Amino acid sequence: MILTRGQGGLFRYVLYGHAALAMAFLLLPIVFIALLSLGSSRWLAFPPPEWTLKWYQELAGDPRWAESLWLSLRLALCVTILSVLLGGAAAFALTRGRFRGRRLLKAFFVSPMIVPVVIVAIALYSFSLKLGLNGTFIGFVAGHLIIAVPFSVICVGNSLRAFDIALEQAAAICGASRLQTLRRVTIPVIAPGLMAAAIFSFLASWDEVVISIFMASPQLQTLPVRMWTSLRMDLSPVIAAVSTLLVLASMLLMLVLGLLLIRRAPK
Amino acid sequence: MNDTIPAVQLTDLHKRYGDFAAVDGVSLEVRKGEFLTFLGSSGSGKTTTLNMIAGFDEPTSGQIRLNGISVVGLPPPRRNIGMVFQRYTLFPHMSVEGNVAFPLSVRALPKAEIRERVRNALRLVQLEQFGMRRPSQLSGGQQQRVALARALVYEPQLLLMDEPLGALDKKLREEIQLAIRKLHHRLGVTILYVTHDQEEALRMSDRIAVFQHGRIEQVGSGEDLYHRPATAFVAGFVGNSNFLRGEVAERRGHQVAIKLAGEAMLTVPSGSIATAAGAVRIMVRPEEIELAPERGNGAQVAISVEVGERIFLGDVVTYQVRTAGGEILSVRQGHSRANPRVLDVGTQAFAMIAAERCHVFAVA
Repeated sequence: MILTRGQGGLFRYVLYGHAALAMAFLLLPIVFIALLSLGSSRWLAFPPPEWTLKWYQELAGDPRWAESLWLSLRLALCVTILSVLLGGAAAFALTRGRFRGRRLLKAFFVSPMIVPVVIVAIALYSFSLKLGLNGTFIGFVAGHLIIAVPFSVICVGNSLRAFDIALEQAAAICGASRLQTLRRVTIPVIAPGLMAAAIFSFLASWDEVVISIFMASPQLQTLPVRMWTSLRMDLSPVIAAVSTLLVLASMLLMLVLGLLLIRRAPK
Repeated sequence: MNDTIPAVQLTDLHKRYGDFAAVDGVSLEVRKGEFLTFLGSSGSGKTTTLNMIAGFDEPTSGQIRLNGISVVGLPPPRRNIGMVFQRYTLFPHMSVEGNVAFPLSVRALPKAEIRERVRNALRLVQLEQFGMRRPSQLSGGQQQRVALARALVYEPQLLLMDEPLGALDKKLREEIQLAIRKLHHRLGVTILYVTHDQEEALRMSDRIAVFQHGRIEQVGSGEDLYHRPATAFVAGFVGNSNFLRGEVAERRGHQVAIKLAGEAMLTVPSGSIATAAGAVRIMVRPEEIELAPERGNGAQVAISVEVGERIFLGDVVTYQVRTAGGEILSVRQGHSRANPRVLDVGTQAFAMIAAERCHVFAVA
């Protein structure tokens, strides 16, 4: 093996350097944005002439940002709950069911991940215009669910495939009803998969911008939409401040996910 | 309750999957408190039969009665059966106590009673100090003992065990076999046990049902199966056996004269081959063959053989010998100071078999 300990000599350092460059490539833009959000330059000059928190203050002082944040949060939570319920139920059917067209149906459930988002957005736009859902909260939820449900189908499906069905037989013979078995055995055992489904669904909605732009109205603008529109009007360091907060929130969620995976691993 | 009602009564049970008959007409009665084993190779229908009793599979036709009451169509939770599975099926997210308490808590028993009964059940399998552990922190043998405690804690009328020791090594198997035997004696629970290991079946069971192709070939005690096999399959499956070819030569009343592949003649009661004509198979156990350099007295059939392989095992010497007809027999002879005879490889000898020790089966 190339990476066997004590071998490889110089080549190891080449690999280390390569890894460091790859990480820098991925992380530097984020670090850059975070630094800019703390700089005093209105024109995003780098390096910042002075350090300041005024962009964060401006952000906190503008109620439109708070409205958007609140909307994005409510939306992401609704989408998370519905995505785990719908996607989880679909995953049960796709994993446990023995019916014709099961594979086709599974491909169908995962297809929003493959179809370009903009196509989904346009289709959804014209469809929801007919239903009068544009610019409504329900329209947003429906649109984001399309993006989020595949994550739930995949996460819960993977957990269910690893789940030993004999556990349910054991619970049944012990006297547990279907519902008791589901509540006390199946769901707790696949809980890490449900958690992963919830986190990915939350992030899918939280970061979603394409569908949201089509769905948005002047009154209902999610955080990414608000960022997009204000970016088009003027380039203000407030955007950098918002971005930094979004990145921090995402990192927090990924950290939770990582901890969950670590907790599951020793088994 | 009336003790004459069988704990389990299977009547002409069938299970078909498409064209394949997994269980093909099984009828059986299990007495209360009996330890009965389903013995057979994989695909013989033993596990499918067990699953139908548990309620995981519904029979295509036939009847299952527990204590005289039909359970066909009744879901598993309402059958009041305990079961131990081949794989460890402990709930990984619960402690040992949580696992054993599970059957009681789904029955919504009072907390104090649950605590008391869980403690007793864990004491029964000698794991009372392990209550707070997770299943993943236990060895395979300990996990299977927890599974046993969980299956017994609600005092089911019947305990099913589906190759519960299959995943354990030999030493642990014997330890838990003993533990299960003791529990059976102490609790008097009816046990249906599935295994493909004939030694395990012989060691543990009151009676054994030998399964083959979805049918029961024979039900009986270990001695019955070994000394009075009903079919050639049972004769070959339980214990070591030799099969010789033969042909029905002549019938005289209740006696049948059979010509063996060499030139020897064997006369046996017609019994199981009352209607057979032509080819038959004769089974004789290795320890029932006497090997001697000289032809013995007339009460035995003597077949001239050549000594092939010889293995000295201390108290026993085993031989592989070849008949004039080219058939190989294994012979197992006791060895002691009083009986020190050992035959050399390559010598001519006589394999002597008493007619009453032969089991004759018609060739299907």
